[in-house]
Amino acid sequence: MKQVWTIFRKDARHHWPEIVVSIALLAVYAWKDTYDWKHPVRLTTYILTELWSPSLVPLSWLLLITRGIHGESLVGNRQFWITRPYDWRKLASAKILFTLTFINLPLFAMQVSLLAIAGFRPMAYLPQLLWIQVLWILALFVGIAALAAVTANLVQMLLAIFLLVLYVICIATLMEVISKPNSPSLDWRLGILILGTFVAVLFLQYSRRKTIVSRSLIIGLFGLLGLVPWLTPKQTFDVEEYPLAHDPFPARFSLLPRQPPKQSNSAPYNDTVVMRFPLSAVGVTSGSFLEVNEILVTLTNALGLRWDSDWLSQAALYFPDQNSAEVSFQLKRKLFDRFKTGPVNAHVVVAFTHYADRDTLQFVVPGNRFFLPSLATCLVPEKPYWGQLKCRVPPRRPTVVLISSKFDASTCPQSSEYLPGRASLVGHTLLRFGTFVPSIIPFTDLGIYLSGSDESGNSYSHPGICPGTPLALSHPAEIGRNRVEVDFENLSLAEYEAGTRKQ
Amino acid sequence: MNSAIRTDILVKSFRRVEALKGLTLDVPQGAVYALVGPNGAGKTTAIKILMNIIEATSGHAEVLGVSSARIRGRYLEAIGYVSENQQVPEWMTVGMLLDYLRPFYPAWDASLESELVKQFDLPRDRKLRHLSRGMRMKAALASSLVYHPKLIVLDEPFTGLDPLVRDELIQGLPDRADESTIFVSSHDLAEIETFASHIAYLEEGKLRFAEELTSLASRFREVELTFDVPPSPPRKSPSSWLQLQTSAAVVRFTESRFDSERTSNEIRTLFGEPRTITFSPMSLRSIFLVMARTDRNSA
Repeated sequence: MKQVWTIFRKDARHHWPEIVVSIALLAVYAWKDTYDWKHPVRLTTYILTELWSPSLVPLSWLLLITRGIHGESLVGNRQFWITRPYDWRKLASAKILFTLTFINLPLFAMQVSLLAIAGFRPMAYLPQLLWIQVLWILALFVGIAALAAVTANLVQMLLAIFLLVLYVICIATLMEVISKPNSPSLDWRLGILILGTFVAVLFLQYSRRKTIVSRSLIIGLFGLLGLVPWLTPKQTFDVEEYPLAHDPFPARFSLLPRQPPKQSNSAPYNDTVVMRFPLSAVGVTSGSFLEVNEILVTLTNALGLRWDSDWLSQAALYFPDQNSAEVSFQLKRKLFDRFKTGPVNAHVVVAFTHYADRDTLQFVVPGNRFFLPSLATCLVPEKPYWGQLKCRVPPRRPTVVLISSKFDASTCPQSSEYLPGRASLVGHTLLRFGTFVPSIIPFTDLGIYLSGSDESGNSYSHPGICPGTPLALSHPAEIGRNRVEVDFENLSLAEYEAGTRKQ
Repeated sequence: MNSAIRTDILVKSFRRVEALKGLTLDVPQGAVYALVGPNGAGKTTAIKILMNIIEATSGHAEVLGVSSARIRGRYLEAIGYVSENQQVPEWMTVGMLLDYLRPFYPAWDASLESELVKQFDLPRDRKLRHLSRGMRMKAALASSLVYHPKLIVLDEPFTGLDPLVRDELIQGLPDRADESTIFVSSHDLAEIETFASHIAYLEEGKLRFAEELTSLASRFREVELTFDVPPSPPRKSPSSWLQLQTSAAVVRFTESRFDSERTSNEIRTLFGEPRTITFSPMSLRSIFLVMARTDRNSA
């Protein structure tokens, strides 16, 4: 421990300017973020918003970790420390302590302070805050440390990063130019491979200083990652999570006649047609609701023309008393033109989640700044942004929250303009929390707005949430997931054209 | 364990270049052992293998009874290493360097530290980057002597230093010889001669010889023979006679296995009775020059 402390003190003494800069950047970023949050119309200048962008803080961490590791460079054979009685475990521990003390601890302290300033009890979020620290270590610090461990100085490190960026650009260009393979996604196996390689590199470098082997490992890793889009099977929606529903079905889906679009957003050069199918879900039991997550569409016609979609993400909600909503997909203009000449049969597989609504809390927005109970701190933006709540949600365990409000209960000015014909609608939004990412600010910022659908499936925005507007907050519990297959015959596809867009 | 350092057919190749070609050495404990040879002979490579800075391609080396491949961490508490090539933490002052290293060595001697700082005239508050090369070497040496290492390894410590600093460094070493084995590489023979007890000569990765300096000095003699009439050159001379030169009535050569009686008998057998025979002791530098020339001629 004495050796760890000795090395740590030496590093702290040597790198104090970098430490000061890093902590100062973090503090300024926290101040800027708090300022922006409190001032709906952001008054911070371009310099403040851009210069103190989130990337500057991680860059200062990169510099700090790199300089710390290069203090006892692991590359080469002329470093003074390699002929001194350093224990590699203690050296590595000192570097870990350095990172924890001058990066993780200030970040943690800043996050605790921000939570407290926002009115939350930081201790209630301790596990989540600690998990964010772990995510930073796993997602960034270990990688930086591994690169620093195979470079001798800052110039080499920056060169390595430059080459890495260049490589990523090349792979992205290849993906675009040569073929369009699957988008690489970081699943747990890939994560373990990356993390495992970085940890192996750090172990090899600290215990044996096997720079050639370590560099080869890193080059091999990135070579492999570059091939991932071509080597891995196309990532598809996991249909197994949604078993085929049997009678009694949680709901029966039917296609509604399409109402003419309120306005056209088509343009002559657009080559993709957006299709909207208004579906009604009959049989949703009281106290529950459905969320359609994905759809799979197959279109055929009498001429033998067939088109199959991939699984397509949706977010349509179906309630017992408001059971119509649209699902959408896109079709190439040329294909659409061939289909629209005659009747089309559509086979749609609908994958949905069935929720039971529970723990409903009735809540009236008390003022322009308020707490949504057990959820977030919110404010009602001033005109012209009123209507959409702006909320900060502290890190939460995975949870789902449903917020509802009747259209005619809106207390926002001019809300009556939105009401004719829609007064009986209820606006909803389903929020999911608990997806942790390494973040500097311990909040997720949300713009909460509600929308409801009429009996034809047309969606409308809620007139707005203002002081005095009653809200219902509930924490739905997932009952199950299912998929159903429905067939719609002899459709006139042109009726369901919602608009066009340029790809 | 009677050897401080022992190597057994040590080979080191850098791609196609063989820097060490089977080096076998035995450095007795308590010796001041000089590894000498021209630049590029493989001295630094050998030392780096001993210090586990680089790995040998084949062969085996032991330092203080431990395989050199395991020399790291606590084993280095007993070894002091100073090299002309070694980087130093230049941002530190001399005082910071000593303060920093102190906790690493259980045997750190604070009074010796003061003594060495005074002896080497080291400015404690000056940053290493602001010191001359000589002063940096002295600081490195002081920081490597202060914990009474059992083995002091010095790789070309005198290169590029002015004579005054060389003297100061050299004066600092014999004091340590009582408690330490000193292994020093150099191509500066004049300095080595003043304090080495053993000497090994490395050339092109091969060990030409290794022996005690007194033994080396006693077996090499510059021999000068004068005759009344010029003698005829011998068809074949003993293999221990190096650089044989005949000039009129004078014959000169270097005897590399000097024994007064035997050498005199061999002279008489080959040349008859000379008018005078002179056997002159040779400096280390002269010995190496003769050997280098002999090697070059035989190559």
